[in-house]
Amino acid sequence: MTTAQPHLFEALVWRLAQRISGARPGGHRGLARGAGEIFADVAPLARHPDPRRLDLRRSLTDPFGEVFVRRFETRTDLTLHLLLDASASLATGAQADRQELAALLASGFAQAARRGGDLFALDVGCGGRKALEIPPGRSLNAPEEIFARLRSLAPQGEGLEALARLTEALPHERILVALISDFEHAPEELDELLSALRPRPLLPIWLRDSGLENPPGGFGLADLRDPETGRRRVVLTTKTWAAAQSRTSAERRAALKRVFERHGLRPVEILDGISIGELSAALEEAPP
Amino acid sequence: MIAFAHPLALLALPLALTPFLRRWLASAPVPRLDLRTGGEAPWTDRLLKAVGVVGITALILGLAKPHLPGGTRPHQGHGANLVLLIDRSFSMDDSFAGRAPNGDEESKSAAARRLLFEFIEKRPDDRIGVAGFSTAPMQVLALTQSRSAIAAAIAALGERGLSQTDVGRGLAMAMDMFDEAAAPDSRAVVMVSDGAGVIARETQEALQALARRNGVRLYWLYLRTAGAKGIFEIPRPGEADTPQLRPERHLHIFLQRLGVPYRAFEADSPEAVDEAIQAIGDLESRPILTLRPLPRRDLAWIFYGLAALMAGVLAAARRLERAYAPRSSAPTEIRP
Repeated sequence: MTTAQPHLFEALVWRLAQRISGARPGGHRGLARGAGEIFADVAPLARHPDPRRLDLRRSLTDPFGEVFVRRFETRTDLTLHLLLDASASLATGAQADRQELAALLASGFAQAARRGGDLFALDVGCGGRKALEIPPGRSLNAPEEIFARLRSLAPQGEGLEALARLTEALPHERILVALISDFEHAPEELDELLSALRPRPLLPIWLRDSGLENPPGGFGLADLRDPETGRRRVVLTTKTWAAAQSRTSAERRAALKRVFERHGLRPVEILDGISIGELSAALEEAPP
Repeated sequence: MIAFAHPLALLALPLALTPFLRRWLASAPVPRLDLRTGGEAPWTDRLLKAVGVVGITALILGLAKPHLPGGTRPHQGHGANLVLLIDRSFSMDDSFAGRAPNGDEESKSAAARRLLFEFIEKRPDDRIGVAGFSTAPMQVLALTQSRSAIAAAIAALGERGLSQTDVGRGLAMAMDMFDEAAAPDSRAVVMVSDGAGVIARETQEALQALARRNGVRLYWLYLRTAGAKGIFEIPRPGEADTPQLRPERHLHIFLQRLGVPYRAFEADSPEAVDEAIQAIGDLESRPILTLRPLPRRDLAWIFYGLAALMAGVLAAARRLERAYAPRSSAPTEIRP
């Protein structure tokens, strides 16, 4: 837990406090009008047929004799369902500790959900296995505990199988799905997962590592091992090799972004460290 | 064929497979290698494994001390099977002038030894045996090709001599020293003496039988002391001519009748001895099939060198080792 964390929570709370449609009373200011505590406006009875909330004064003073009712903002609740892809690649990194970033963000979301009065659920998928499951609830799991548990988790497994299976059980309404992943996936795999998650409101958070994207070009021998597949490769590193790696990496990012765009999404990119200003802007820009 | 001095070390050879179990370079975890194509060097991995296997194998083979076993190889040279039969009597320690040698002179035995050293050095293919005789004959060295042994045997004759001169039994021993390996047509006995003795009748008969059987050639290098009668001198009429008074002359006559090729040289100075030895050398130089020793050849250095080379390659690979991207140790940053 760092001192900058409260700011992070603020940014997340701000994002979640934006109006989200929902019918059940909850902590968020809903877009729907109806019975509530905060006055919103008045509307003709014909448009909002709720005679219990007749606005007598407005109706009597209306020059055309129309009957008005008061409308109040309804408060909705929602479940912030966090999906964390903790396959073995999450533990890899050069410039960033992506596991710590994920733990920070998850605890931040949990804090934000608690302060917003929302339900918070967390599912961690390690490849084909579900590593951690926190069912929707309120304040039962302190953000500190979530941070600690995610920090000590050993990322393992390969692929997105567990997360893809989870999506079937997710409700379609009153939910905001936040998907935290390093997105070390092929475009097709990502497309599959997004297809399964949509049309739920989805907030993809992309943990990027500039070190892995642009390896340095010094001459040397590198013995590389894929932590997910166990595949190994020895490469002779040169400037040309580094340039080729940066190029394929950029191409792959562009391909992933096209997949996100096809699903009407724009991922929030966390590059190496969290910049609260950029995160806030990204959260604001992200389509719901 | 390669042999090993410590073959038990070869039991460690399975260790050479360790490069297949342990990787030489520290591996760096990099996700999705299948998507990070480009710049592969598939031969590097195989090369490093091969270098490791070869290096460990060479080291173990080197520890087992490989060598080409020595031995002998037939050699067609020029020389002879010679037995040097040398007089060890007391008088050999005198000079050619017949007195104890002073600083300028050398004794007859010393001169003979010196000239024989030179002789064997010039003739690398000879097989030479050494025997001495004085009161009793003694075999000093059986027929051998080892130059150092022959030189030592000749040097050993520098010890002080004994009193008597038993030529007959000495000759019998010398003739008996030829073994199976000595071809019958290249056997020669070189007798070096400064006197002779009477040979008993039965010894004469034994010598004649031996000479017939062994077919040796015989050379007598007579070191004549000043004042002594020569072996070729025929006594004047009236002068006594008995084996007791002129044993050298009578020995010469006996040897001439022995029925084997025989030649006598009379030398009264070191120069004359040298000439006589040269003459014998020229006469006894015919094709001879001998065995040359082959020294054992150590091969460990080749394997150690190879192992060192491979270790150098591995060290260079380790020097070039790097991660895919260096891991930053900075804590996770949260910027406002």
